[in-house]
Amino acid sequence: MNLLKPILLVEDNPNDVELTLTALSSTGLANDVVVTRDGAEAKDYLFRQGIYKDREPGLPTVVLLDLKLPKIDGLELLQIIRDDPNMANLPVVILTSSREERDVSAGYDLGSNAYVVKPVAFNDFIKAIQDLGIFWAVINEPPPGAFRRR
Amino acid sequence: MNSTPEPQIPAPIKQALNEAITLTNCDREPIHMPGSIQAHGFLLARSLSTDAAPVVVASRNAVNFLARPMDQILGSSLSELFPAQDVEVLYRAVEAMRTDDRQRFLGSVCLQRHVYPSEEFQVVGYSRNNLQFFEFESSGPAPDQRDLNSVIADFVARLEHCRNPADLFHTLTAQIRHLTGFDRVMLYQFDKEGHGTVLAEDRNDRLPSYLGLRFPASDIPRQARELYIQNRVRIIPDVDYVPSPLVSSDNTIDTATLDLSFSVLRSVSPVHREYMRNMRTASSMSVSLVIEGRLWGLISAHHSEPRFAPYLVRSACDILSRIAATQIASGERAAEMSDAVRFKSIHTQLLTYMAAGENYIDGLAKHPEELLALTRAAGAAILVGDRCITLGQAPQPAEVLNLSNTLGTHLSSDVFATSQLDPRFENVDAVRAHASGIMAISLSQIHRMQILWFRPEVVQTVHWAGEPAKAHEIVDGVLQIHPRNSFVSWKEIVRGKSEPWTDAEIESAREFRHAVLEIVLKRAEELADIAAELRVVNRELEAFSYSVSHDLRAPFRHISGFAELLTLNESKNLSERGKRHLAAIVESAQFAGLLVDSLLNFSRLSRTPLDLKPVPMKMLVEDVWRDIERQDLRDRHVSLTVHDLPLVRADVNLMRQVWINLLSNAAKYTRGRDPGVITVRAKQQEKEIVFSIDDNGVGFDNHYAHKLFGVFQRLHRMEEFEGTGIGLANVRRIISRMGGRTWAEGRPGQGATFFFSIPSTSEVRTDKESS
Repeated sequence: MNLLKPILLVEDNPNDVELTLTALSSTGLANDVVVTRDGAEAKDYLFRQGIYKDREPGLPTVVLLDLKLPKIDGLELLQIIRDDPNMANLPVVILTSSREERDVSAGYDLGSNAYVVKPVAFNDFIKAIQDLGIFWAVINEPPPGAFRRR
Repeated sequence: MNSTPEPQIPAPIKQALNEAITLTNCDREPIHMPGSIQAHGFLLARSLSTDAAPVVVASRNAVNFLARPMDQILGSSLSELFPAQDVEVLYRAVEAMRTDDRQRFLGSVCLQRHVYPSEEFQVVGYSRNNLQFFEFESSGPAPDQRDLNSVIADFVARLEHCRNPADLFHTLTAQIRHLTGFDRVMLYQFDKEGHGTVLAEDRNDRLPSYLGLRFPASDIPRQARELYIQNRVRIIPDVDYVPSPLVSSDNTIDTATLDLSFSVLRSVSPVHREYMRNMRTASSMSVSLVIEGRLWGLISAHHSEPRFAPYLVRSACDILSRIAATQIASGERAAEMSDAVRFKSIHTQLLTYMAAGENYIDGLAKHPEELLALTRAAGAAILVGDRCITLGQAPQPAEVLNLSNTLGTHLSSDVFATSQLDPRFENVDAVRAHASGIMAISLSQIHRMQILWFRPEVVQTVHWAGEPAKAHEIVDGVLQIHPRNSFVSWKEIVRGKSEPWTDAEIESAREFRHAVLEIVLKRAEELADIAAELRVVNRELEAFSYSVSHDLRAPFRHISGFAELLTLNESKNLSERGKRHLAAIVESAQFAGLLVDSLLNFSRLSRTPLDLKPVPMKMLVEDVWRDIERQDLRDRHVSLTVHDLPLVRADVNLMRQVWINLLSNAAKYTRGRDPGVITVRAKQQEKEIVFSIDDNGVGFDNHYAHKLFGVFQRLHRMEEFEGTGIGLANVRRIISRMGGRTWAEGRPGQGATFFFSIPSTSEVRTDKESS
């Protein structure tokens, strides 16, 4: 069992899932990646309910969050995360196609830790993911008080 | 101070004087109940209830006519006073008289026991205040009814030949003189103030001509006018008659207050008799001209000696006058109609102009002829706020504004019209010449938005029939009212008056106001609709670009991503050709992504608000150039010369994009020049600052200059010069948001100059420069 906390990827588009996973694996990170395909599923995972009610307790090390999602969209999920005292400090990176300023500023207003517009060129994309992964999953210490289990 | 003491006048007299400047206190004389009748006939009245009712009121002179003492007249029934065949005449309309109070001719009776020389009496009956009145007019033989019929038929036939009102008036006066034999028959028309002007006259030489003279309103007191409408024919056969008082056996009846409105014998006011004597006329007759219930005018007949016209003759005069009145009315109505039609067509024209103009006030101002014709004015002014446009003959704009201030609230919801200079106006002398007559409408409740029409002063010479102001005098400290002695034409010069505005003209202004208000309302509604529509379109556009941003980028990213993965992982399985194709896929997908990003950026440019701050242009240009040099010009030799550039208020991010686009363009198109030479200058012009970027690159054909700034417009092939073709569109969009212009000049093979301008007002002057 992987002792590192997993990375939670919330992404509905299978192509993006594959490209993101490819990019993540190319970084050499050892963290597991949990893929949820819509906002509701991600919420179930975070709150250990629905199909995830029996999962091991604990929070992911970082959430990579797309904005346009079925059922519960990215910004709504971010709001839910920030409203929960246990997850208020959970790192959330918005990883999306949108360059729209209102999305960017709404994302920051709701307390996202970073906002990454997926570059069209794959090389650039890999680089962005590597930077993120290394930063959040390895280098970054969780804020004090965050639940950490090794 | 220079004051002369005023003569001391006792207060009551002063008050009386104020009240009695003219004959207006005649207005208070109850002329319809004089308590007496004229002497050429007698009056009996009895209760309306039964045929057997006894006579309760009689004129004192009935004693002479009936040759009975009063106590035998009062209390007797009609059948006791008259023989059977006469009673039959009296009862002829007795039932009808119970249901209405109309005056009726009952017929002639021949009294046996009279002492008066004439034997024939014409009897007129009417009812009033529950009494039946019978008036007996001594007259001699009644005229032949067939003669009267032919007179009326002739008159109607002649009317058909009347071409204008003057013809009609003359025909009427001549006919009435012919019927009655009076020395002079005049027709007057009353104006709005009640003054009468003699419009037609038929006469012999025994009485002077009054044609064209004006009789003041006070000559005919107000209640007399009312009486003239109810009882249209009056006759005074002998001005020197001795009135015969009414007496009654019933002490509940006050003969002094019996209403004689419908009487033919009613005694007239002593003032009126004095008036007649002053006019040197011994007898008079008048017939009212009533149009739509208003006293339009009067036929007035005079004779130098006593003269009588029998009832049937007077009745014929009345019929002629009524026929003439309908004719006058229909003439007036036809004139009004044709006016209305003309005004309507002017309305339509003006409204069309207003609707076509950029703002509707211009539509009015540019068509002064129509605006003036709308009310037949000589001048006009359009006021919007403190702005005043004058057209035609109008006072100075400052005076017009003064007028408008004085009009104030009179203008709120209707038409203001005056043909007499209002002394409230501040500067009467300044406006008198052009604006003695004013008509005005207001087109807005909130702002000052008014149209004023003007008519010039018409210095009027009025020929009064005698000097109207001399109608009173004080004798021994008592105010006495006398009608004037002289009717000799008395000239008065009237100033500060214009031609009066007719009802049709006032109505025209009123209707125009309504029409304009309707347009204004409609336009406001349309604007609101358009704004709402725009909001919807904007929302849709935003949703569209949002979805492009999310959904269109993704597939390009996937194509590029998977193609690159293929290149990375599978290139050993691919032929060289296959690898080349894969590379083309990657490149195309990335270019497509770039295009999407550029488009989104372009659409964002017009949506993000401007953040204006002082921007030192020279520093900005140099900063941008450093980036370009670092990124694109590592192995090239391009020199940039930046002349002095001003400090301007601008959005620094947007301005940076402008310079990036223009400078990287210049750098790009000087590729192949060694060295590339770029020069940036600014030139202050009258209203704008013009910036220019000059290069010695490939240039372009000026023929295509207009295409340069369009979205995705390129003048060079892709393989010559890369790019999305959106850079200059961005420049144009940014510059036009800042109120400036963009253009370019090309010299094929020799270079190009790109220009943009921003308004001079954007320049920030530093203290050093301004001092």
